[in-house]
Amino acid sequence: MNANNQYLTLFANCIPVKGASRSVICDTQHKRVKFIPNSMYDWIQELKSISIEDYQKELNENQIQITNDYIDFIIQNDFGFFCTKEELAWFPEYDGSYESPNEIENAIIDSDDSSNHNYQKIFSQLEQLGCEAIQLRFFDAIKFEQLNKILSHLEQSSIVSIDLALPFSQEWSNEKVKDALNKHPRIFQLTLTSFPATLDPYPNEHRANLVCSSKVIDSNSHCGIIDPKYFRLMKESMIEARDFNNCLNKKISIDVHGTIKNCPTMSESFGNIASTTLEEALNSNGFKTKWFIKKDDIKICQDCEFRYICSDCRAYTQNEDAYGKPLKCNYNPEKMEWKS
Amino acid sequence: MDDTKDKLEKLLKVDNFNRLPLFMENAKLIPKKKNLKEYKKITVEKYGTTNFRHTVYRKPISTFL
Repeated sequence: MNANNQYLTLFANCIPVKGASRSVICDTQHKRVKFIPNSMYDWIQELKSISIEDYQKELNENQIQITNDYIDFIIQNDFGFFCTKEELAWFPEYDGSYESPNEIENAIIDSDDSSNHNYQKIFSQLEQLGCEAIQLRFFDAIKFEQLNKILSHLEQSSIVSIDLALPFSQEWSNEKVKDALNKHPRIFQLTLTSFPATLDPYPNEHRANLVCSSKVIDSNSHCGIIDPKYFRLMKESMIEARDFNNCLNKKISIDVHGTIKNCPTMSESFGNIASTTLEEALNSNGFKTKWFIKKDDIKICQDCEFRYICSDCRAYTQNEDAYGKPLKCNYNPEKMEWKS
Repeated sequence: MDDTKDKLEKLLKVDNFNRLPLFMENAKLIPKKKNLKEYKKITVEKYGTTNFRHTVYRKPISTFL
């Protein structure tokens, strides 16, 4: 195709992000990330308002060859397409505003042997706030029947996604796990922690994701890990990350003592579930403050090419700075290296 | 409606059928869900009160492994 009198534009869900030393194109539809040089990122920005022919007028032969390589890269990877100037106006970028009808989108409820949560009451309050996804983290062993009883409160619920993390015990045979997953199809992921090294991991053959991990998770202090395995290539979360904290935004948590918090690991309390409703906590002063700490405000993260697809942690930060880099992130965007 | 039809025909000439849903979204042909009440109405109409669907690909709620 003769592209000279054409405009080249990226599909709106292929989002380029510039970092300190390199850039990425995040294809949120095909769930892939490709690295590109920062010079190519700048070139993509310039091409938003100028035709390829006009752009190349001022370039020498070598520079034209480089831009032709860029064009080939975009087309071959299906990141963009040629169009006329008139057509260009039909393909606006996402307007960047994140909207959600839910007052709360996800919740964490921690418990151990000392906890005395009224799950029915908690779930009911979460439903009122529009919460769709919850994570139940058990730090002490829980019996199959106990878990069944808790999850039975969700059988008619608008909470549609349940993550479970619970320690392995002899009772949790592969058959019992299968039973639980079949009985409660809302379970999105079941993580068996403290899984014995002597046992083969149970086959992950369910509609829910089953994870068997030898790691001992006995408190909320294990949270906050930043790792590529947690990267999520979703346009919704990328757009959210531009304006909001992509961990804490629209999250509410209850720790093992029933204390209502942004995140169970954080110290700031907004009351206890025994005497305060989740709605009251949500509307209390300061609860939403951390929702607005976006990646572009966070030191080092603001220079990272992965900033809109990775997770965040405000509980453990460098120098305990509210705007500090997550303490459990080992990536250096300047050097483009993950430390092991 | 004619305008929508014209847009779609033109979009198809771009020759990227697998991106079509996105084109429609970009062209603002799919209305946004604006508020909780409307959202609940849509959800109930589509999935029923006791049915549900998994968001197959969603962001992690916490990261501890």
